Amino acid sequence: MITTYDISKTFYDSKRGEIHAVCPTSIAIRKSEIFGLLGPNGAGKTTLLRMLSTVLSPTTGTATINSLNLLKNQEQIKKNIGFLSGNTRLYGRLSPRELLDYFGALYEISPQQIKIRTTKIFDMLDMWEFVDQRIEKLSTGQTQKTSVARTILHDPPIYILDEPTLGLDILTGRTIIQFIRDSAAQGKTILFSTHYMEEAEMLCDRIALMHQGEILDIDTLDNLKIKKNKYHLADVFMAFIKEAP
Amino acid sequence: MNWNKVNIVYLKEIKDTLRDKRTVMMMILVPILLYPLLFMIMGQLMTAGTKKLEAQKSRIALNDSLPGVLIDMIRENKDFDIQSVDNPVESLKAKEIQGFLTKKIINDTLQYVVYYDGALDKSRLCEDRLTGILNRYLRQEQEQLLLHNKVDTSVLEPFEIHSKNIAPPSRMGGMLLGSMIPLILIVTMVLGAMYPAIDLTAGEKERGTLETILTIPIQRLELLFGKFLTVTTTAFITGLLNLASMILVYTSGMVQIGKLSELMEFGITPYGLLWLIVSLIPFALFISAAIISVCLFARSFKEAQNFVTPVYLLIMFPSFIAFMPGVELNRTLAMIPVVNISLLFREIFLNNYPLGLIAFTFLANSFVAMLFIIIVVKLFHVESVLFGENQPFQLSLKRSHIRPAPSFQPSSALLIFALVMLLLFYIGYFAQIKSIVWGLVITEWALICLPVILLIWFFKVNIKQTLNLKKANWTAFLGTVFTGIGALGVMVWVSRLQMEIFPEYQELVESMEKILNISTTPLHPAIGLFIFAFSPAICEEMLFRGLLLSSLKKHMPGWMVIVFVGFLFGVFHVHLYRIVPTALLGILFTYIVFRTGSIWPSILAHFINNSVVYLLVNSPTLVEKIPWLIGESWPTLKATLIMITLMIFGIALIEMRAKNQIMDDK
Repeated sequence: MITTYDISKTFYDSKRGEIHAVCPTSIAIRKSEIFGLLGPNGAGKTTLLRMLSTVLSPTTGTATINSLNLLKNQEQIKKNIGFLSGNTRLYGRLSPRELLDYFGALYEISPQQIKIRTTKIFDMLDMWEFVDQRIEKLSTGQTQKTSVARTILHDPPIYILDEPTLGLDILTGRTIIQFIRDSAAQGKTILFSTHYMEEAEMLCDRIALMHQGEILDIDTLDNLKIKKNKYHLADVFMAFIKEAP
Repeated sequence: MNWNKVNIVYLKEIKDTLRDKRTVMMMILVPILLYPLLFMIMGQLMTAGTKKLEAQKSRIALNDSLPGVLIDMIRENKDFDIQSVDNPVESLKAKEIQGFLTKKIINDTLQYVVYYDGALDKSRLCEDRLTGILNRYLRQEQEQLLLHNKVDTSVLEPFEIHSKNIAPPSRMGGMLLGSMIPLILIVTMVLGAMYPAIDLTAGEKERGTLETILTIPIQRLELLFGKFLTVTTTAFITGLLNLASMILVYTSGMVQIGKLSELMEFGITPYGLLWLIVSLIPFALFISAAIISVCLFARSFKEAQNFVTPVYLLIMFPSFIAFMPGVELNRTLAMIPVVNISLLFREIFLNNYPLGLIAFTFLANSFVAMLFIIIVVKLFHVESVLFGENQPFQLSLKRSHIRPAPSFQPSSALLIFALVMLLLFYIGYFAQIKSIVWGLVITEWALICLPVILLIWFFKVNIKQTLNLKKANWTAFLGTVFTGIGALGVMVWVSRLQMEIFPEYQELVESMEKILNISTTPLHPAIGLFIFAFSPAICEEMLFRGLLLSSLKKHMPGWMVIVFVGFLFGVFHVHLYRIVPTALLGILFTYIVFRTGSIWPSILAHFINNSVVYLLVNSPTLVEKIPWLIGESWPTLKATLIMITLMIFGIALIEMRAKNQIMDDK
């Protein structure tokens, strides 16, 4: 579903010079799997996901998403993914309903279809209570629900979620975890990043361990544990870092 | 580009903007309430003040030697309150009295002298009243003298003088409105555009909604146009509202400006109004694009406000030109944004409709607006601009706290440029007026070179990388020599063209020649070349093709850096008529360094250019043979072709070298 070919990203910073945020990386994510990207802050997870969601363009390499070339079919790719991160905030002066109408129009969904789709989403996420209030007035949980609604509005086959539970309380975090599980059950492909080991253990079919811009290994949780002969994922991760060049 | 999506963004942004209280305040309340109210109150205060002033008596002192008749005349006049003071002049200084009248005999001539304080309104009024009385007294004396000698008093007035103002009150009012409205209008339009511009760019970055919108299937161009049109709309509406309210306030007679009000009548014809509105459109486009282009660099609302302030001042100052006497809209001025709109408005309020100049203004503003739009579009595709997390200039004055860096950040580099410009204004020009030779030496080495070196040392910036000190090979140098010589011809051509369009240019060339001419400043040719060619080639290149280029090139598209650094180089030479040729030269030099990666070729090119100009000015015999060299006539076709060929050949060599370089690096 998502395949990257030596994709990399280098930033230029006047103070520190060239920074290799993501070293050439090749990964292949299968249809309907939950793929976790695990690593500490600054490992390059966000940069990699931003490239795959077309927000940043890669310095070298490319990727295909649902058989579409990342460098050539950006508009089509955007229609195929739902991207959610701590950085994707919402317009505070609009209401959830206005926001979804706006994004729906940009996704080129017809007004009737938007109405049908939003009604369904409002039911599903239990949002009716606040759909006409300004987003700036909503609670964190309500805002997060609106963000999820925004991500699934166009019913894409792929979700790219960058630290979706970061900074949320346990209850709101639960909503997100549940959402990921439900989506996987519906056959969606999910690529998500986190630095919470438990989250990765709980959800992922396969995990990629990322550190300083490099992928250290990709495997199922059980295999990773066997490889390093450790029980906790955190210990597995530390063992990989120690061996890294 | 899908205009339907632009429209969706536009409608949403307008809705969003109208829900922002700050913007609505700036867009509606300030222009339609605050400014007119301010004018009404100011007018009332002025009228009240004048009336109050006129009702007051002037306290004066009189010298005892004055004739009794005159003293009686003053006593009878109710405007005066005569005081007796010991030292009248001191009392006047102490503001105890407002005037002092005395009599003197100087060189056998009798003089009546009125002492007053010109800085005080009351005292000026007193002087006016006293001279009025003196004139009446003079007339009385003359008549008595004539009567005494039995001469008819009509000899005093063989004829009468009358001035008649043919301007109807509407034109008198137009004159006032035409000077006042442009300034207020420009200020309100900028304020109206400022908040939405900041909100839709830096505000969106700060709130994190930019990343959201970039994951939605909309092209950046469509997004940008939607935003741009929103800002333009608010600027335009603010302008319209302000214009409407100002005209309404004035025409309804709500503003009274003392006696002036009797002479004036405020109004505008529907035809004039139409032209005002039409010319506002490209102007709104221009300010919106200009403001958005700076806001894009800011990461937060607060930072954007700091960035916009200088732009705001830059836009505001030229609008003062409408207050300047004797300046009228002409073709040259119609090409300068802001200045053109200020002067055009004055014309329209005077009921003049110079259609040619209106069209010129319209086109000039549209053109500049378009230029800015292109820049904004390019910037909107640069990731470091959209997601830049650069730290601004760190003013840690402890050198031990500063970490080494490969080059300066763009904001720091521009600050250094501003610093050098300041030094140039306050020290350089002063020194050059005292002594042109020493002034130039000081300017180049002490005000440009020294600060650059010191800042590089202090901030621990890599000197090799910052000044592009990489070695260049012979192909690059050869290319540069050809390009440099060819460019000279092109410069002559451009200068000549400029001279045809702006004849004033000639004076400048003559004054330039005076500076460079050895005959007025006797110098050994070697010393002359050192001052006029070698020093600028080293020092100016260090600043422009070194520091500025290296810090900007990673943050902007290549062509934009080249044009921008070239433009700064033109601005640096602080003369309106030198900006275009020097900026072109600057663009060429910057291009050479950008492509070769080395500053040495551009130092050579700068040296060639300056020394050729210097030698030409000082060898009249050569100029006589080839008069076009100093722009006295158009270059011959043959010469032009040779020069262009040389330049193309030079550029080809540089390009070839640059391609090889990339291969080598790989």
